[in-house]
Amino acid sequence: MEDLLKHAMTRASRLGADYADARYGETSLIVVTCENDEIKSFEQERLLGIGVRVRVRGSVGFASTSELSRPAVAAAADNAVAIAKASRAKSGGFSRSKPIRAKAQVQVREDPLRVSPEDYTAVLLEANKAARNERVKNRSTNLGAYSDTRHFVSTEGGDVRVRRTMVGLSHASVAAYSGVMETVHDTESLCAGFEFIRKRDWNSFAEKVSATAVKAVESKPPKAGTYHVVAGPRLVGLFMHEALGHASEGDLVSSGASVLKGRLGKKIGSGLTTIIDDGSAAGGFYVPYDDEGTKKTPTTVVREGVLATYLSSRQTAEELGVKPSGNGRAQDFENFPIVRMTNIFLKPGDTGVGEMVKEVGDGLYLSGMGGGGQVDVGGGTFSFGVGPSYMIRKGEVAEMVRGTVVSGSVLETLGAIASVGKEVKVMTSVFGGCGKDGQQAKVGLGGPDVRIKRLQVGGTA
Amino acid sequence: MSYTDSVGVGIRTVRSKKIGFASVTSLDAGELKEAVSRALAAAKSLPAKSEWKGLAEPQGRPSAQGTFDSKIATMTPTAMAETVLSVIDAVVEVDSRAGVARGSLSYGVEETAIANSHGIGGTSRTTAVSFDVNVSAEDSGKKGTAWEWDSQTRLSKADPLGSAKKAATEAVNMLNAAPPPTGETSVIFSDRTMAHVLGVMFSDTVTADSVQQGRSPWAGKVGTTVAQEGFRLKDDGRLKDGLATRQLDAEGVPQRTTPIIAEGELRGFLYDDFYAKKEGRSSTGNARRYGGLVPKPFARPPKPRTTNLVLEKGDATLDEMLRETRNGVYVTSTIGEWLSNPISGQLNATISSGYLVKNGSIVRPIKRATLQADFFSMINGGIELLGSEQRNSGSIYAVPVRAKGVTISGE
Repeated sequence: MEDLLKHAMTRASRLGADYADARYGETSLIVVTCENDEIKSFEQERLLGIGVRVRVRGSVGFASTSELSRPAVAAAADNAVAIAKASRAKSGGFSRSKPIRAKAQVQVREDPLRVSPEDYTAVLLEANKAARNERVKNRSTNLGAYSDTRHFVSTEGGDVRVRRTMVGLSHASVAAYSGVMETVHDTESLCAGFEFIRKRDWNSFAEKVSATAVKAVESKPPKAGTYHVVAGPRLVGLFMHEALGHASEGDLVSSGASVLKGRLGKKIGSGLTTIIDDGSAAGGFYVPYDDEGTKKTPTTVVREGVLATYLSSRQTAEELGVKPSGNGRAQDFENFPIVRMTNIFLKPGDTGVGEMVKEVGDGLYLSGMGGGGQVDVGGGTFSFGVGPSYMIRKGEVAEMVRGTVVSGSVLETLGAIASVGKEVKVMTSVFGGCGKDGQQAKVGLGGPDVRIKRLQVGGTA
Repeated sequence: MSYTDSVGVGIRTVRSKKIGFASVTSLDAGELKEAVSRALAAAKSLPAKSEWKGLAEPQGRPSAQGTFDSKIATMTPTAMAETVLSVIDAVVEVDSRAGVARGSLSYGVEETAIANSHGIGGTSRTTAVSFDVNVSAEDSGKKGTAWEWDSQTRLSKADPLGSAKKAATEAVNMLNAAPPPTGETSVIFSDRTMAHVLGVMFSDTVTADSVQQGRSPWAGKVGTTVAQEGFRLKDDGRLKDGLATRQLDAEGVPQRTTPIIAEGELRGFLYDDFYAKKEGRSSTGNARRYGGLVPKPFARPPKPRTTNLVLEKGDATLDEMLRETRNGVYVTSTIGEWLSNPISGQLNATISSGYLVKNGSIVRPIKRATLQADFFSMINGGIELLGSEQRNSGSIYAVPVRAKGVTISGE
């Protein structure tokens, strides 16, 4: 493999590239699905190939191939150089970075790719069965395993190998009651081997989802309006990711697409908010080095409410005049690196959840599991789904309300964070990830519970 | 700029009614043999699918044809660069306060081949061009943004320059946008916004697997009234130049046109061969392979899915709709509509750009409000006007729609 990577770089250099890197990627994904006590499918995917990135007089080009042969990688190098020459982009330089030679991997006791299919199906069938409930019409449980190996080499002497393994389970229950239906789902993943699947109690996990769905289908959605809320770690993580994380990505800043442009050193959130992007956060997705061979050390994006830096790749760091933060990531060998988060989370504070609920008095406790989100980085607006949650009445958690959507202005909401909880939870997922510019990236997100003074909630009129 | 030569094979194996699947991004014989072994090994651990009645057989004559545009297939990096640069210039020419924040342009050729042990076989070659642009305008500390995007199978149907100019005008309009008042009102959904709503509400619910598995709110409603007369929805696998138009579906069964809602009644669902045989029917040619770590047309086994989802035209132009609105909101773009609940019918979205309409005219631009409606009631009596100008967002073809009883939560 090294031979092929070197061949690609040599070819590119000979054609006029002043920088070239070649990235080998080999990824496997197993997804097993179970629905209403039946194993529906056992699917396995394998992706492998080489991507070549070159820089010719300031212009960057990229090409990839799924064929692991000398002629194929040479063709990829040729295409990359031809594209660089044609694009006339003003990309400029890459920020200086000491080339690193390193190897890193997630510690694994049981390689999920070597576990027998029967072990997968056994776990699934049991969990799916545990979710049985008179009012639940559909129970879907999925088990996933992900294994990804990358080898990066560059003409600067960089040589980085990273191997990641992740496993996880997700469950969704559809409850029906009196002509109404409601879906609730939850998921849990970890960068670890199959040993994580074996020791976790998935039966209780799935049972809880069904119980919540049954309660939720009888509940009403909250009335639409602006609320004083306590938000759980999952929602806080989603907010950090959607509302702040994307806006802090250097490429979105330098192109003028982000609402955080020109705000370095300015206060953008409440003084209680310190927000970190860390490739090695416990519970998150493991990114010790990015796909440009840069080491990913914890980056403090916001420090006590003040925007401290942007997340960057080598190219954007150069444009923005910041240190490269190791956030240049590519979905796979077929894609070039762009600025992506790793694991973004809010640092803990010192207020207990009970205290926060009392502080709210009358409002909402957005504890809902599941849902995703979307952000309009330019307009600074976010929108995301929250699963079934609870009203807060007179300082106490009260009745459940159905899942809904919350939205608002990124900066206003950051500024409205009034209390921060004590325990951080960071989560990632083997199913799906974050989409940007046509590339999917596995990410992590999280935080403690927080109290937010004002949040716009969908619901009903 | 990047060039990707992506290749892959998805293999489905059947042995004693146990179905296995594996895919690999390689045409190497060794890799393919291993993929077959992986598929067979996994299948051993699965229960036999008692309802399995065999893979699809060659059926009927194809009546559709995917579009191949040689102008797309012969596109060069230099020509692409020129198009992008002219888009960037065009935006600034519309208004010097506007500029392209980001965008992308891609041209693709897709070649597929399908074969099975019953003699099904077919190949196809199609093209597609995709474009999106995000324009940002700034003036005295105020900021406005707008997006435009388009996907077509023919170069002549895509107009990056025109789209970019529209986005520039809209971004400048949005400089003074502010949240609308809160309350229940009539909403005009733009054609693209409506396309997204239809996608969220129907894509996963009118497919036979969802219906049979208890995941569809439409189950048991075929032949009943679910919509008002003007709301006509179909799945058209033969749509000329449609993005999802192919001769054969992902199992090798000819694609066709299937009505979903017509004359107010739910007409039926979309089937692949397996789910059709379970009901003693024929496949409607809706088998599609999508998804995977990297969504590819070979990375997963087939499942029923919409092809070109089409909302038929009504008779009101957008201008007429606006002129006939006394009080309402015209929504031009949303985010988060995919967070709606297609099972409960709760439609939720955040309005990222739009306009307040009063007495037939646009009064001011709006942004940052949520909208919420009961989609099932909306299409069954809530639609006041149906547009006559159809446009696609991906493979969903829709028209502007004005509906009453939508809750807006703004200021």
